[in-house]
Amino acid sequence: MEKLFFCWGIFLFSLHSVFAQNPSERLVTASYLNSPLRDVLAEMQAKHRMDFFYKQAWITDIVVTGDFKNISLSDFLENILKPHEISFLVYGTNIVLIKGESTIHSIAFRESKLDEQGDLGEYLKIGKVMENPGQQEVTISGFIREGGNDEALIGAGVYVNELKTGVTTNINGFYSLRLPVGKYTLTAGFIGYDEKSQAVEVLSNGNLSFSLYKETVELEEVTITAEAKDENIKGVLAGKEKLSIEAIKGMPAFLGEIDVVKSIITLPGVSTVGEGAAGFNVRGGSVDQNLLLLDDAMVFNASHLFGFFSAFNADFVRDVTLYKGGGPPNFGGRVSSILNVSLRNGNRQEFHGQGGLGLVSSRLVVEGPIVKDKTAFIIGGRSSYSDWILGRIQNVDLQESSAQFYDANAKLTHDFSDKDKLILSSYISNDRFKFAGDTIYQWRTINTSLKWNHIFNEKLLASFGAIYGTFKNKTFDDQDFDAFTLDSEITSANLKLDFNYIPDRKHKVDFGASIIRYEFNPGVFVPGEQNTNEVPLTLKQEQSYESGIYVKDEFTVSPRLTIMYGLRYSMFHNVGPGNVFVYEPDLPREEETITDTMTFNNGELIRKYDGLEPRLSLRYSLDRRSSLKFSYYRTRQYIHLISNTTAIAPVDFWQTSNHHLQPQTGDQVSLGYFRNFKDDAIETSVEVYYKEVDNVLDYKEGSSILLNPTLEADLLSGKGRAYGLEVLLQKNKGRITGWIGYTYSRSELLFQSENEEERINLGEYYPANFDKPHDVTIVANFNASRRFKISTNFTYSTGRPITVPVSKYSYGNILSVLNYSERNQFRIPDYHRLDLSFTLKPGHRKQNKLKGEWVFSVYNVYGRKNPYSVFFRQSGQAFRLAVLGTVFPSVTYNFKF
Amino acid sequence: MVRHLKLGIIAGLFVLTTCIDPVEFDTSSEPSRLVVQGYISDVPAKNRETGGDESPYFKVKLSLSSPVSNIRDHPIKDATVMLLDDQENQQELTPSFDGEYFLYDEDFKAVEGRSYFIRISTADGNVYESQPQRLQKSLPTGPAKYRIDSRLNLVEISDQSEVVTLEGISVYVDLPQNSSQDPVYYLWELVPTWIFKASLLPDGHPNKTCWVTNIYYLDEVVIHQDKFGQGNYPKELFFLEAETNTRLQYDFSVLIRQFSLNKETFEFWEDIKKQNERVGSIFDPPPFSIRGNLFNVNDPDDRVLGYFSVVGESTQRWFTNIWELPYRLPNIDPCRSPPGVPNIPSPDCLDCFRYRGGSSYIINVEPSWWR
Repeated sequence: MEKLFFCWGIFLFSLHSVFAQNPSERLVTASYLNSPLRDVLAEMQAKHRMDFFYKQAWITDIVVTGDFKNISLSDFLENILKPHEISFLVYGTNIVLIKGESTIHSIAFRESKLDEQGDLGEYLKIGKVMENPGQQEVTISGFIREGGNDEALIGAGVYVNELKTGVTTNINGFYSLRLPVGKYTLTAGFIGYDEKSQAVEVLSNGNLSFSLYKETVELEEVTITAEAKDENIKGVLAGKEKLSIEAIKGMPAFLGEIDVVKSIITLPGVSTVGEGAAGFNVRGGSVDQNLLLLDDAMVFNASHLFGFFSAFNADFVRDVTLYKGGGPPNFGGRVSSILNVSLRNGNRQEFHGQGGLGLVSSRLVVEGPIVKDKTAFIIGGRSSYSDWILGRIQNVDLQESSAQFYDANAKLTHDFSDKDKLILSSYISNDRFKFAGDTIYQWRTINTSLKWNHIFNEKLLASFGAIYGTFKNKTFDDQDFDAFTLDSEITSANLKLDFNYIPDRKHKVDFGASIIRYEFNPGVFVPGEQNTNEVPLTLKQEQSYESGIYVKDEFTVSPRLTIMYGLRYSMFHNVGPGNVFVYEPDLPREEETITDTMTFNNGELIRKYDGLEPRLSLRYSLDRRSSLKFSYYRTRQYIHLISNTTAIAPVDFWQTSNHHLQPQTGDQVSLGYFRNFKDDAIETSVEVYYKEVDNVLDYKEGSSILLNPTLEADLLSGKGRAYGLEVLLQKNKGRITGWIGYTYSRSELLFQSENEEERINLGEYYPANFDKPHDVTIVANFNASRRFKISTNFTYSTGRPITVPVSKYSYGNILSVLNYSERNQFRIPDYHRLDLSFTLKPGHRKQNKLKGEWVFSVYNVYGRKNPYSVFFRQSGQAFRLAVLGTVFPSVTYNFKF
Repeated sequence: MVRHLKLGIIAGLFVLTTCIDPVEFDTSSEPSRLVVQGYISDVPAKNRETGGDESPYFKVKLSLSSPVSNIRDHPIKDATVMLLDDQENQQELTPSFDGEYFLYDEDFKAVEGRSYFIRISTADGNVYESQPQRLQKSLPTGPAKYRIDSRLNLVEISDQSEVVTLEGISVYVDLPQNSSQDPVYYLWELVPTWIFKASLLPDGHPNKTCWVTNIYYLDEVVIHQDKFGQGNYPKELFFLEAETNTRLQYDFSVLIRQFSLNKETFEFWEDIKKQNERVGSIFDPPPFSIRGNLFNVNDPDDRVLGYFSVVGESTQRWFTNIWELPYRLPNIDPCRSPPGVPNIPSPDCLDCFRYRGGSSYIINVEPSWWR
């Protein structure tokens, strides 16, 4: 019943365009003599890539006889159906048969969807009969697209039931599968979409494409990791997590602002230093060790308002994939994780829009074809109106403050042919925060990426990308004697070329190369006219090239054992112009120990770093329901965020590796056991990992990192280690879905030196700022009825480490000067919070073109006063500050048209 | 540099729901440590201006650090303190009560080119020394000036926070002009004194009028780095709320003592200031213990707290002229209740020595330096 309802919805907004669709353009030439209608439809389905929906009983006895020459498909159907009082409706590539003229209210066509396995009774033939097929291996390839708008589904799976093997589609939605000729059942599936099976008889090389539809009533939308429904046990990559946008949207959010980035914190192994803090920590890694990609473009700051909201428009996002560890070798440049946020493509057939109105911001996305089936656009934006909130706060500094942000995306896709596709994607995000009437913080990201996908043949695909991005940060003050501006900027230009090559059924090879040119301006300081105590200061610009080549093979050794092994070779060239201070060896680096300055000309090599990054992932299936996965990743990171605060602050800046600053190198091993129960409805996993990172950064005590021309003298280089255990229990089907995750993790740092001032914590391991050993997350969704859904999440974690005053003394007229413990030897109180949200989905009235839903959410249901921070009065007394220490109700209205 | 980036307070962005509760940490394993404070300057005791009950003689104060829950430090009274220089001169300081050790030599002053350090021998046999320090020559202070000013402040009125504007004056000095291109480092010490009257006593009563000194009233660390040593621009020292400030009712004065420091001493005070301004948000750099310039001669792991410095000094006394304010200060006398209301006057209505507004020194005789 529920599924039926969905289709109702589809009819409603496509009724007007019935018959105006493809069927009138597709021509039919055929002749039949008493052929069962079922077979005729099956033939049409295969020939014209259409899907037929009907109730079996209506057509059992109907046979078709006649000669048809070049008549349109719609005429053809009308011809053969009308005598039997059957009419039909078309939506996209779907054709729904209806008994009678307009008595569509009672169809239960889903009972007999033609393409469901078993109903067909006959195998769809692929290719031509070969003379001597034997056990010859052939290639089947095709696309998996979203039904209705033909958008390619990336990472969708095709599974050969009989062979227990499968592949996933690439970024074009294209898959290619090697298998011996024979009869099979192929199943295509994708997260958030209804699965589709097709019985086929493979005769030779051939094509088979699938169109998948969004899960009808989105009953099972909170499937997090599943791509194919058993991807968690079948997938080779360990530490890969995927969240669909439906899952993200279903989670209760702070002030109703759907947070694409923060949602991943609910996954095991991912944590944050506190609510409102930008970024996240993966498996004990720091925030800057995560590579954030938005449609291939690097994003340096993914948050608005210092971290309270995510800088991505949820209506634009398709899904979010997180690789805990290095991921496959086509990714590089960060030690801890890759977060790949992929955006939707525009609808190539119809105009649509969606958006939402919230307490903090509103958003709107519109999309549609420019040239039908060929060129499509999607454009959207989000803007805040948070100023009025600040005006209502009884705080001196905040009443004179203002906070504004917006972000916008635009994307254009063009298909030159089935083999060539061009994608142009652009993103801008802007924040402006005026603090206490004087200092203004502003930061902005602008990214543009162009991508060209080309299919040489079913075995070889290529993708070429050119990406350009800037990240600007500006802090300024226009108050007389204190006036100044401080700018920093990163520009990156990136070229990359990737190939997928599938030589045979057992191998999937990826290889490619990339080069990034970085230009970092760590700081330009200009004092105001009346500010005579400061001089302009420009920190030296840094230019670097980061390049890499990689090759990867996913080798199916046996149905049980699959190995993904690969190698990345990365290089980094820091080039002039530039000056490098030479410090006296063996002495602590400080201004006084500079002995010389080396000057480098434009383009001259200052320092080169390079190294191999082996990656290995191995999956061994114990049986159909369980598997073991092992992985080893080595990664190198050449750029660093310079930040000595617990959370990222707006004036923090990035710096490239250079003469003094060495790249970070990470090694991670992990081992996991995965097991599914109840026909994959319940997924469980246990993973352990150990990680070591060389050349992590920390700072000398009391050092200033801002506008510091001898920054290297205040940086310390040390070693990090992290280890942990992640347990996940997940339920994907039924009225209640969700997961429970538990993580035990430790993250520690070590800074040793001959010199006392270059040691931290007496040269012994100490906990990193984000070391939070215990972490429990529960996410649950209850579909009370078709229109009403309740979602909840609960999170608990150990308080983060903190340095506290252990004694004090008075000094002159200062009553107490505090004497602090060694670094991070204490912890703030534990964190826990419960959120709830209620979603009221629209009713399906016939005339409603606009579909709206209300989301009521309550953040921090029991008003836990979680410490945002612990601070110390001058007297040494400790207080905890709860910023979001109360219940936050909010309401959001989302709409689609 | 851009030190006034008030990042910390950004954390208060969502203060609409902020709540603050005390928490406790178990810090019992931390030992008591020696705390040293003291300086000598280029002005000999006989010429030094002082405020309150301060002795003009140079002194070194020794104490032990205490647990954070404690109020007062424990003074060390039984140590020996020597002042030494690089020409092998040495003088022993005389202990007094309360852990203070005085250099009773009214002609002694630090001279340029010579370096000085102190040696402390404690009763338990430990010997501590300070790093040698050189004098940073003092520059004459410009006269203190004021301007009518206002500040916004948050006040708590019966559980409600309200933003109010405080009318007052800000006091500043013009930094001395200097031809050298070297940076100059300043520290200002402010010793405020004001008049209090026990209003129910008749004029002429000895306990009618007191001069109250409270060194904790203006207790912000006021430091400044004149980067290019050129001076000649104003530096604000403090803001004084005037409109409702009863301390200003009769007369109010501040002894402004300006020190010129060397770089290391400045950094020590800068650290103290940084620590005082920490608000404990996640945008704060990690806190740290402030390193002084003293060490245990025999045990490098024994951390000593505090600083011994050699500074250039110049002082001036500044008085408020309340009649120059553009508004009249309200003349509220809490000792007199409206007619018909029973009145139990507080003790300080009948004895100025029992002033309740907070003091570190109080006297009923007009100080010689009062105007």
